[in-house]
Amino acid sequence: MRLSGACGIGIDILGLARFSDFLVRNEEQLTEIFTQGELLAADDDGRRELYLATRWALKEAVLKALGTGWGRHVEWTDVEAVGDAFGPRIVLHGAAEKAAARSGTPRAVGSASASGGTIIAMAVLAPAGQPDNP
Amino acid sequence: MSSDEVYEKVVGGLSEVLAMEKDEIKPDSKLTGDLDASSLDVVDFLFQMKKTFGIELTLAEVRKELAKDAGSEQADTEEQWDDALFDAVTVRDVVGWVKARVSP
Repeated sequence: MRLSGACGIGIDILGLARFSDFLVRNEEQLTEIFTQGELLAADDDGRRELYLATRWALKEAVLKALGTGWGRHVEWTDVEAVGDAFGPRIVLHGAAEKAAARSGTPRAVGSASASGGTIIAMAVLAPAGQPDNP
Repeated sequence: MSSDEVYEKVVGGLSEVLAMEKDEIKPDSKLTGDLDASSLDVVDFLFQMKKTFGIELTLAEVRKELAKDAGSEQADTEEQWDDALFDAVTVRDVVGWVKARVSP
């Protein structure tokens, strides 16, 4: 999708095996990373591990596009990727939403793909008025 | 808990998360710079520390510590912050922060 005036991009790559280890070790901490909506959608998706891995990669990509990093102010749950595993709609909350608005690019779009146990995600921050993901 | 005990547990946690031998991890090893920890590894490690020590050493607190250590307000701003500060975090730094929370 072409986005005129876009001024923030971020990309992330993630090994599914590494994420699986993380998932096994930290099942009870997942609400610190994923929103309730993301967790419920993952349960419904039938490919929970892959679904959550793409969410992680998308969150990373969005935070890179924002340039804020994660931690002091922006929480992982401030970036939410809802809907389809690979063609998600990105919703910003809290500090992420404020940072995007301040930078003049309040809309975030993202896309993800997986192959051979590797996931890649990309996010673009766009000015208001740009179309959503198809 | 002694510093040696904290160090052993911190190295044990890093060894598990990073799938490295314990003797590959040194006090001066930088988490991201030398041990090549990704953000997923760092989150995983902080969760392990929470389970091991029963403390909340969140990345938010790590960043606060970094700002304090750097004597700078820059790292604690809501917008951009200096990634180089985080890249410089060593195993010794983490042991110190954990020790201060376990035995204040």
